[in-house]
Amino acid sequence: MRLYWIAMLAALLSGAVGGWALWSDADQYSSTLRTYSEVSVTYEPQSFRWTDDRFGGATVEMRVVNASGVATTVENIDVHLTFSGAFAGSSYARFQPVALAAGEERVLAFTIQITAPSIQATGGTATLGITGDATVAFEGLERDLHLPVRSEIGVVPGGGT
Amino acid sequence: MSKPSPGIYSKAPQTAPRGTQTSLPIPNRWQAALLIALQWLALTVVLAAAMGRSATALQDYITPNLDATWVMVLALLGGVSLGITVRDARLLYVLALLLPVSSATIFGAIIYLPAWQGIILRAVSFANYAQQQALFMGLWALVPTLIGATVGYVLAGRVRNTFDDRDEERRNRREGRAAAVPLPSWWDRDTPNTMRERESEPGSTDAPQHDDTPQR
Repeated sequence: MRLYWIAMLAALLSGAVGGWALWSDADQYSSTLRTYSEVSVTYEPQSFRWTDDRFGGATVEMRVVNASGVATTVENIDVHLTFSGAFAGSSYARFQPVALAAGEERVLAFTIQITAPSIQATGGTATLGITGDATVAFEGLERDLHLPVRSEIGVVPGGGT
Repeated sequence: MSKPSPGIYSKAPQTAPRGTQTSLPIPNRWQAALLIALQWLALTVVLAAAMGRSATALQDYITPNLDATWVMVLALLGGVSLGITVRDARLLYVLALLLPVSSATIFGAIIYLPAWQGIILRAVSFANYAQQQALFMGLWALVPTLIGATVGYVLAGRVRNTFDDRDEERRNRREGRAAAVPLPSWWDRDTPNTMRERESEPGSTDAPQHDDTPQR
């Protein structure tokens, strides 16, 4: 009988600890994912400008929003421009990490160089899009967030500046 | 006639059978069933928590992390614990089988929790991922649980017998009786064959004495 009660009490006590651990697991996991989901990198509407009459380059602005409750650092953003879905060019400048406090948002400018000469001429008539990804580090979280960046700009006729 | 004290008519408290008297209470059938259900639930929760802490699926989101061996160790200990408390072997193996399965189900539900909460998209691929991880963890814990249940069942029987023997001795000593001759182990016990062999041995005292002297 002694062994019975030892086994029973040990199981019930460990169950209490396990219940707390399980609750903590679920809470940590969902709050971490909620934090991740509250950071976004999106195209700033109407910010796209051709810098070249022959569609050799452009500038675009991206809005980075940190709506989470923790400070973040945007470690990197890769921005690629597409002409009707086909890769046309990228921002080749080295990205400088940007620190964002909790609740802060910032607009970042990117210069894009067109490096697909075969489709360069269609720049004024193609449906433009932004693809890429961003790497965001969070204070207090081990894992960085790799965020896909997808936005549709639409058709922007040429004209240059 | 004086009125008997209510204690005589009140339900007598459960007492241990002769030879196993201890100060610890012995639960009745329903209390035992409730305790075992609670124990199983507690062990399921512990194992699910250990799966959450050990799984690679959640290691980037949950701290502190445990080594995956912990799941096996806890499954083994959970099985031993069930084996000690559940005396019905069939019920024991049903509970031991359900233990990792239920824990893995809880673990899978935790993986899928953010989709239920609307934090992330309810994608089929994510549901499949959660199921796959849960299945893997369930299988990982199943074998140790069954082994542990067997070990616990055997261990509990041995310990129970030891305590029974010790209590029997104490009782005999207290009551001034000679100790009972212990039952030989099963391999030393007589079978019909060994009994026949012994009887047929010449000079054996066990053999029946035939008197061949003619009767007058």
